[in-house]
Amino acid sequence: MAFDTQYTNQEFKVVGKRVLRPDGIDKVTGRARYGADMNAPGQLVGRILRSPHAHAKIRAIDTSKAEKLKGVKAVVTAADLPDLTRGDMGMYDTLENCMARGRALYDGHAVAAVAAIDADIARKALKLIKVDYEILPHVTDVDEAMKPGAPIVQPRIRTVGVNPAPTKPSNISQVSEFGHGDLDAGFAEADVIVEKSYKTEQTHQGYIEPHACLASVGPDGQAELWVTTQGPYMQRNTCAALLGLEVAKLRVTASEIGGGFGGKTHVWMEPVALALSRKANRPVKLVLTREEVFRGTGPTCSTSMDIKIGARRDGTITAAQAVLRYQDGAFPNIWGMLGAMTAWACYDLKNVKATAYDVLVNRPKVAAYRAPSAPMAAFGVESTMDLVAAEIGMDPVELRIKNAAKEGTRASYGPTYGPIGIGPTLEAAKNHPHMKAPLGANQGRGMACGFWFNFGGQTCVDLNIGQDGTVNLAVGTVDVGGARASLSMIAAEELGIPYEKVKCIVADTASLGHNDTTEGSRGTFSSGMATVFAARDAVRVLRERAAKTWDIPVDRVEWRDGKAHAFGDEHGNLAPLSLEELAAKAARTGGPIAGHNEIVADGAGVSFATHICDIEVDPETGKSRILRYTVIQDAGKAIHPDYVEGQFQGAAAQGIGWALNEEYIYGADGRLQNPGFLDYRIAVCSDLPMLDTQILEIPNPNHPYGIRGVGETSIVPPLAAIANAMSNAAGVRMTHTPMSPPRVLKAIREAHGA
Amino acid sequence: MAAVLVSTTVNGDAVEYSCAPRESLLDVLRNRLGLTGSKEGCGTGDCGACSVIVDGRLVCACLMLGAEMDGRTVETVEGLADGATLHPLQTKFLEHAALQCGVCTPGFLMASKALLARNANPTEEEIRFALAGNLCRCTGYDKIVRAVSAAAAELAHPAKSGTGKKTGGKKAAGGKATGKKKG
Amino acid sequence: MSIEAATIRELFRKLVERYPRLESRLRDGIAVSVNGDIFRDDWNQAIPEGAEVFLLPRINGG
Ligand code: FES
Ligand code: FES
Repeated sequence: MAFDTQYTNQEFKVVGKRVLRPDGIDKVTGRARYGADMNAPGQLVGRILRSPHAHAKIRAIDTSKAEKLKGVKAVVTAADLPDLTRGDMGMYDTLENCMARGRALYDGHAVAAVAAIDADIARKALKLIKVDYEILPHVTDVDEAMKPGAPIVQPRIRTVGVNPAPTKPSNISQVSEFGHGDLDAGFAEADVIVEKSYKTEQTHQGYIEPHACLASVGPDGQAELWVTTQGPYMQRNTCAALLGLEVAKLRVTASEIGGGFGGKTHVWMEPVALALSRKANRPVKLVLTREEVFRGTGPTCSTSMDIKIGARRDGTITAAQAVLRYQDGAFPNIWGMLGAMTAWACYDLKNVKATAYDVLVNRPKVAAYRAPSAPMAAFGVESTMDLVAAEIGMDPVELRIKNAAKEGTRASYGPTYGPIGIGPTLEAAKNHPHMKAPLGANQGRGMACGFWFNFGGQTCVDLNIGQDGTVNLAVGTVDVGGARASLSMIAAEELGIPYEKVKCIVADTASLGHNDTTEGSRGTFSSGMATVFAARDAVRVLRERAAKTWDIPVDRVEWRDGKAHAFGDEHGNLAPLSLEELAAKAARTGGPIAGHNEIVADGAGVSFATHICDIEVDPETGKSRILRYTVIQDAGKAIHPDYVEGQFQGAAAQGIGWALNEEYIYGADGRLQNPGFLDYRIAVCSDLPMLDTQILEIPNPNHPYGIRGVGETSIVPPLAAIANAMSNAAGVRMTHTPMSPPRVLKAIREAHGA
Repeated sequence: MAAVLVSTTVNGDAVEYSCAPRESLLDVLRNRLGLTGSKEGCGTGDCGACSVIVDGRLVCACLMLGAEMDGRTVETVEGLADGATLHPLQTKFLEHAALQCGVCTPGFLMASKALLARNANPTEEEIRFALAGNLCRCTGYDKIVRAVSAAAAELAHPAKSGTGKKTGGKKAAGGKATGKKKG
Repeated sequence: MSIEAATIRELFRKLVERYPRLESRLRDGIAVSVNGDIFRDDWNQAIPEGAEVFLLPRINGG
């Protein structure tokens, strides 16, 4: 491929190889311990009672009968979680979301919880709790919620971002706008203008492991929490604040994590487990059921949007506009704003605007989901790009190449880009053999692009060298997809030793300094950066020890291939000292040898992907089948290509499920009708073909190895890539996800009837 | 409700336990026998994370009762390896990076074992349909399908030198773009 | 607008001097883009001569 050597600028010995992961054996033998796999002596079983109503006032909760049931050791309600948030509205929302306070805001909102000696008794106790609800009118659809007269979800909310500031409550929590140039002038210059509206239904991250934790609070205020999470430090800080514990006395250990995809970057039932434990004075294990995961933990937004593009016949886009309406569930957030920032990020546009409405509805609090908010906006934008291409008779890839953002482009969300990969992914797509493969009847090909920011953040790493020269690497970012292997490789690379000599662990919050949550594709990026610096710190110590051993100045010692070498005329003949030799003598040269690093690893670098998809649509049933799928994405530098490919494939599969099947279905009563994997259908093995990948490496100038985040971007293009392929296969333009067989069939019938 | 006393065989060992009549096999394995390798992803038979083999048949442990196991033979992921020697499925899953978070892996391993027991040389399509009851949200299944094929080949023609990971093979394109063909 | 500042911290200090109402926004969390790279927390980040600096809302990932 044309881009391999052009962008690869460093020679590596370990990095880039496909080594076996250190946690692998435990995971194929059943030994790895996930959230629900830990037990403590005397532990109780926790369970949560949830509101069956979409919107209700809670007049009273009577827990007396449940408390009297034999075997029940604690019952908690909001009264056991007093408000300690001191005006921090974000914290207050987290508190109210984990336990309703006088009102239920969505079907599945927690209202009370019990801890009992076994699951059976806990279940019975829930039935004995009497909640007196006054049912209020509700709204679950984003467009309905914006209408005047819609039931108000949160009376405290006044729309932010409009002038003059409103005085009445509204379900629109925020209006935000990004862009530059003059839209009217741009549209006036256009030869064609295409305008289209789209809708996407709500989806869930669908991690296979439900939320689970084991909480233990002692009467002296010392507490432990074992939990499946992407952010043990976030858990510690939030739970400590909500329960009034001291941060240092709450020790959080992240279990192995059975998938998160953003859904485990938030606090859900953990404060409730701690409150139960505090009240019962015993450890409490709280594991959510799948139904609770769907009803009570964060899905992504459902959206509705209008996209408008003006272009000249030569393919130049003269103006582009997006109006996005994203529902954030029952609590205000910025998901719509994120959609507006990402909507046009792939393109170099003179006149561009994206306006976002963040809207409240009676649905669960929306959580991050892999490149949050970007897939929906991209569905609208990339579908409309294809419509423009058809209108002016240009190849869709060429249209995108012509307008692609490049180094120096002013991004639609403000800044000017450095070196970026959208152009190269498009060129690679154009030249990919997939583009030229023949297609049969009822088959079509589509492509689309996607963008995501990626983040860095606070990171801390400890590297300790044992007396035999093996190395312990302790990191604080959770390993969601093989990061321990990549980080061990980086340490081995820097130290010049074999990968097998490094053992990487994820430390608990009491053993290492603060680390931000593993989100925004930051795990390998940030801990990788900190690992490089920690290893270099250790090398500095190793050189000093060698200098002491030889009794020569340290500036005459260099570190190469895992050994200290003396150089210069006087010392050049000294035999090199290996890491093992230096480690064995550490006690006599100054004590243990270690390296540390604490940084804010910012500058993660934006990332782009282009996907190609072939689909077959059965005109009789509307059922579609993906025939071939190719992911092309920029990785900066692939530390472990298997896991980079794995991220690309996993993200694409989630996007495919989103596009074709997944959706939250609410009844008129505001209740979620499909809270299970049977009716909420994620992609299964027989739904998919092999997912081909092509990794491009355009180094990130802000990282010593050029790493960019890779985990998220590839969930962005599939919705539109599939819609575009369907339009070529069946002649129908789908504007509403999921593009499930009934919707596709309806569109085909309408097209033929017309 | 009176507890039920059950004598059964789990991973080749004779085991006795008493459980409540309503208790699922999955709860018995995880909570009474300490075999937490089988996972609960749904509890309703929809995800396959709890897949185990009972009397040679693949089942969802969350849908069977612990009380039904009397006199039967149960195989779980904990019994897949032979001491320190991994089963070829385990080795191939590792070599092909067929797991990311790994929570679905025990279920996939047991379902694949059941598949290879009745079909030693499955096609890609046969693998995909045999594993359609097991959900994986991380991998997109590509590497899982490859691992199962490779394990089938390995079981048919065991490699002489063991199944150590080859780093110089055709896939070791370290640091280069990898354009893979449709499998 | 153009401001003389060597780091993000200095930039924020000078901004608040000029626009006191910005202070609460900065405290609530804001990200800064320096020549296209987004920095969420690192206020020590050096700003090169002539750099383009952009204030953005602080955002999250998945
Ligand atoms: S836990 Fe048994 S099938 Fe999901
Ligand atoms: S590896 Fe995570 S669900 Fe399969």
